[in-house]
Amino acid sequence: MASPGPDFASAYEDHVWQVYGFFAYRVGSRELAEDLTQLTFERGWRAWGRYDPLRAQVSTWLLTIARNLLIDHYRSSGAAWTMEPLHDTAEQHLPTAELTPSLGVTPEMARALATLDLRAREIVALRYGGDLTGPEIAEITGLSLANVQQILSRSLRQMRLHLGDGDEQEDPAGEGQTADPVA
Amino acid sequence: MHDHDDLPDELRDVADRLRREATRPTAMELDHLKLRAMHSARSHAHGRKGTFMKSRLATILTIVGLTIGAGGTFAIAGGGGSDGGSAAKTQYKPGKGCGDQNHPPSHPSPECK
Repeated sequence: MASPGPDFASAYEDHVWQVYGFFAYRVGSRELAEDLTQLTFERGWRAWGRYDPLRAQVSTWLLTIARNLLIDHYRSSGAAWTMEPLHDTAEQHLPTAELTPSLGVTPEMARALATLDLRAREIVALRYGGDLTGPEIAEITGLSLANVQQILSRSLRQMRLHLGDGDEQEDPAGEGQTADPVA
Repeated sequence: MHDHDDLPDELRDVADRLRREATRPTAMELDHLKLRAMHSARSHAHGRKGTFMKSRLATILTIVGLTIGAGGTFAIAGGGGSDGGSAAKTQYKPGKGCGDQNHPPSHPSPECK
């Protein structure tokens, strides 16, 4: 394995808040967000020799690791709860943790986020917690950019209804036709 | 993607709020995370080094053991031969010429006592 050297240290300094922010919008406690952030950088450190800057931004690369780690985490929790074989556990059916005020998210925001399906919440977390761009999210998730933007708009619209200042009906005309967020 | 993702105006406040409420690690958490990451990285490095050292140590011990074992075998095989001769010579060398005790030699050797 190539030595991480100072470059990985820079990657850590520059992107740790994005990785943490992503987890903070997906898990229920600071401790878990912290644990998963540490594990992400641990995996990243071990794989740093294989990182190719020509193929991906560091932030995208790290958040891909973070995302996979979270899926693994949910799958292991899900397997323990449901006793289903891992390959039979669809991502949409994986358990999701409630956000708690201790994580810095207001109860109102936590409730609004809880109304989103897992895919939508992931996109929101990557966009506003991980601070990734639409194309970067599309690259990580394998969705088209148009689909990512559509999911974001629909998610924000749905959240707005639960944030107290929304005056629209849920699932406005046309949105329901693109309800399946999985490309 | 721009700050507002080309969102409709009515959704920008939600996006802004999501950005504002995004949880970021505190300075203390950052330090804690960094220490944990460094400790973990160090553990991995030591783990690898330890494994490497263990395998090297095992190789060295095996070689030493084989050498000592072979040497011991040779030493045992040659043991008793204070004259440096082979076991065959020690065991099957000619007698001292003392012969049958009932028929003493005419010129007894000094060793025949």
